[in-house]
Amino acid sequence: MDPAEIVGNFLRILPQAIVSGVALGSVYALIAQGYYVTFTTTETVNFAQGEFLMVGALTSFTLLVLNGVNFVVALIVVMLLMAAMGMAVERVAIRPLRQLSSVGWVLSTVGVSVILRQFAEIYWGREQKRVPSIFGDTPITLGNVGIFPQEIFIILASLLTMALLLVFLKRSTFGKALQAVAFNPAAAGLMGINVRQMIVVAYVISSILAGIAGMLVAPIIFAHAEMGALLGLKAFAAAIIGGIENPIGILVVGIGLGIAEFIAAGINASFRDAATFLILILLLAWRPQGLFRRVTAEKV
Amino acid sequence: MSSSRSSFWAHRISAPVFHHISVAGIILTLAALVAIIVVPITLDNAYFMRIAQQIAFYTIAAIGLNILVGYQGQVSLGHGGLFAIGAYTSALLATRLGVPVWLCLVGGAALAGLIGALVALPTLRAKGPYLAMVTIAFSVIIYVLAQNWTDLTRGPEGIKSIPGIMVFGTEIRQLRTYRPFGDDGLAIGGSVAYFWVVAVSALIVQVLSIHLLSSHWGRTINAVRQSEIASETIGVSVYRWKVGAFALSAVLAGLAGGFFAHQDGYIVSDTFTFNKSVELLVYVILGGARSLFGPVIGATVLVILPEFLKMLESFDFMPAIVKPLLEHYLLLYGILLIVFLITMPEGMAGALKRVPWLAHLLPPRTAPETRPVAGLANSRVADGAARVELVADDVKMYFGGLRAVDGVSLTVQPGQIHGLIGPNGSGKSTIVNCLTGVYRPTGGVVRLGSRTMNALPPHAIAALGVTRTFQNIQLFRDLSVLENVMMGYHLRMRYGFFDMLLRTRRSVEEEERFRQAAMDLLSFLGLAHLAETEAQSLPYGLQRLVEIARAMALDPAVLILDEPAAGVPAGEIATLSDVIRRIRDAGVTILVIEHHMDLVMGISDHVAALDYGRKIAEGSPEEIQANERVIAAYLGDKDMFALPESEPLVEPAHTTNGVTTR
Repeated sequence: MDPAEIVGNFLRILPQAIVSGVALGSVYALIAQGYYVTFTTTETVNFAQGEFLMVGALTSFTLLVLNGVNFVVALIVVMLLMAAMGMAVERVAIRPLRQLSSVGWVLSTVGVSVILRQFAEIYWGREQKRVPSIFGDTPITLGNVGIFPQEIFIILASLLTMALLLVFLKRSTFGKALQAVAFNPAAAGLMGINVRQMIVVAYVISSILAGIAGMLVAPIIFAHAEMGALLGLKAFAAAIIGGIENPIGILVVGIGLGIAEFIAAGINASFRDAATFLILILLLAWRPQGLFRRVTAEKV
Repeated sequence: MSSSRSSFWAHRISAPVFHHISVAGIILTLAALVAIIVVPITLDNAYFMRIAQQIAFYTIAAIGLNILVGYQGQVSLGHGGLFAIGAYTSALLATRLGVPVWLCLVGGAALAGLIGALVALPTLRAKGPYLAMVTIAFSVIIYVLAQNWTDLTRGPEGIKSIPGIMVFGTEIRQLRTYRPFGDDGLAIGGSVAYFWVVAVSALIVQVLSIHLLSSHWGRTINAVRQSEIASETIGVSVYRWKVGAFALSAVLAGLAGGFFAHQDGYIVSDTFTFNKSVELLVYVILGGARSLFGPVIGATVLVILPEFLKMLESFDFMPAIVKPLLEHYLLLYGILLIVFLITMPEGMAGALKRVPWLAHLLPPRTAPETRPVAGLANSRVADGAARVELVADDVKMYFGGLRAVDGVSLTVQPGQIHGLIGPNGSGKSTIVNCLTGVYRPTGGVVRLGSRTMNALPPHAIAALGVTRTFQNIQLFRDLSVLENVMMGYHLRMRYGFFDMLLRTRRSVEEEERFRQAAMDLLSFLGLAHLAETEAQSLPYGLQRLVEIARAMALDPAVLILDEPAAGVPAGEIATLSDVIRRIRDAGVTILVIEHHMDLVMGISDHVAALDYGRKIAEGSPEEIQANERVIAAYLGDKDMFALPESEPLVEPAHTTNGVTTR
């Protein structure tokens, strides 16, 4: 292939990659904000975040498709379920292992992810489930670029959710308490903040974000037991590269990753995931602290 | 303490390699060998043989993963991917290039090790959960490649007819069943022979891993897990050791993968999902991380468990709800993983260790004899290498806008005790971090004699003879006091990896020599009676002394003590002063950072004072005690006290930023 052809090919797929990439990337960003919330408060993340998303997506299938429940009701049910699961994972997999050793919580949340995947295979079966979009499946086309109404909804809903989250974290007393715990748990405790409760809240928020992301993304990628692993992993990649304590960086990188992925898919569809992770590993080699994270000195 | 029976078990045998093996060790190894030979002949069942082969090669992978996860403390969820690399490499070398299978296995292990190192190189520099996540990504990449790079791997269709190992000119699966004791007697066929090959390999890996983990190699990766920064300051290149441990564990994963490929002569990409990595990790955690026999126990129990569940499936009495569990045994693995992590973090091996008669079989640990020690023999002092000054010349260290150290010059004269004082936040610890390579200064020069040290990492500075202790004690908590001090000899241990692997006479003798040296050092500091105590169980003051002992094991030219009196009870300050003086008298140059004025002023030959990142005074202890800027820095300027009889002070340290605004 001569260079002109490669460039031409690239330019041809670029507009569509940007449109589809922004939609998928905003889902990555939404999931990754969940990593941000728990990491800043506890320096732990839920490695089963992707599986939480999967449970959210499959639950929405059960509610919307099998039982014909209204979308808003389904959303509320999913959020409640996620809140309960967030509390459970904090209680079972994080709290007992946070101090014990630095790796215990990684292993236990990986254990949770395995359990949820197997449970989903047993309960929902292995086949892929189609969850129809409430906005229909007719793409809007502009020139040779097509966008599904659901994709527009994903972008708007993710951005709105993230905006609400940031306002909540920065403005409300509750959010400030959460930030205080992140900054210095001991001092926050002395100021009368219930640190343990704040950690639970962080996990509840993180899980709800995963659930919302699952409901949003299900109509465009099919819901099935294995769907969460890759989404959760790519979102974590976005969180690391964006700087896990920088929500805006996470948003930017999440969307960038989505676009990069669709460009890679346009070039060779079967190596799309391999390419994405290769980018992650190379970026980490180049900047271990993430793109936007300032290098901080470790106190000894 | 020891009965005649236990001393028989602990009796050791001299040999050029496998030196100093205890009788218990030999008997255990021989028993394992006999079991490997006899058990399969009596079973004579292809299905059982397959399970036994699996146990053997998963044991190899689990031993490797335990080195990484248990001892070195890094989580890898990528070992399934490395296992796949071993399997595909070995299979492709054999089918495409016709390489002899023995070499294929070696090639698969080597490539897995190389790729493991390549994955570890960039990611080990990042901290926290990143490595775990990157290794998951690695697993996924390998699976995607296996699935889609069909020209090479044939994807889900699989690579067929992979040759087996050749035995006496016959391919192992073609071996005719041999019945040495008549038609109804014991049978030896191809699957038994292959089990022997894999199981004996596993036994060799087990024995060598015990050698390695109970040698200085094992002690070092333990130390790195417990405190990277302390390991660096005694000369361990933490990064190199972490990459090394990862590569070694990758080699074993690759070897196991090779054995897997040649088991049935058929591999498909579906085998190598992320779940393979989880399974390997579960073997290690449930078997017992950081335990020598945990991996073999874990692999044995957990390979049998799903097969056992499948067997139960044929019984009618099973309630319907249990059925899905049989197919989805990973669900059970996940639950067991969490339950073990919370209730039994030491795994099944940890539980066995508590069985009294089993514990009795382990050879007791004994410290070397204490002998009277007159003084410290320091090689650097002896050959004059310690007669150089440590210099900080206009050193600056900025963190963003914060000028923690803003142009400080210090000269620590050889053979002296140099005190460095200053209020909290004055930049003392930052200076120490610049001098020891923990921070790279923003500006200025740090040098030892004429040797500039600015860009050197801590372990290279340690090699030059500059070491330190820490304000917040950085001992290797789980190691004994003696082992902590032995880590201090890291740079002087000359025996290499293969010496330790084969336990050569040289490695054992040198190890004994350093044990004795460590013991002498402890005697010198009056800590000999604590040699076998776990470091973390000591009171604070003694922990500080152990840290000093460990630093002294380097034969340092310069010893930097960062707040050695912090947290030490008032009654023990005199002991500490005495120890510091004795070290100085042995010829070692000392820089001591301290708040405790009685200590600093009592022992120092020369004192410098810092405030707000600048040096405000320097001189003899008496001069510093009388210096008004120093007094102002510690107590605030005159206006705060406004003592009527006080003379006006010359130029207070901070005219606007008094104590009140700190």
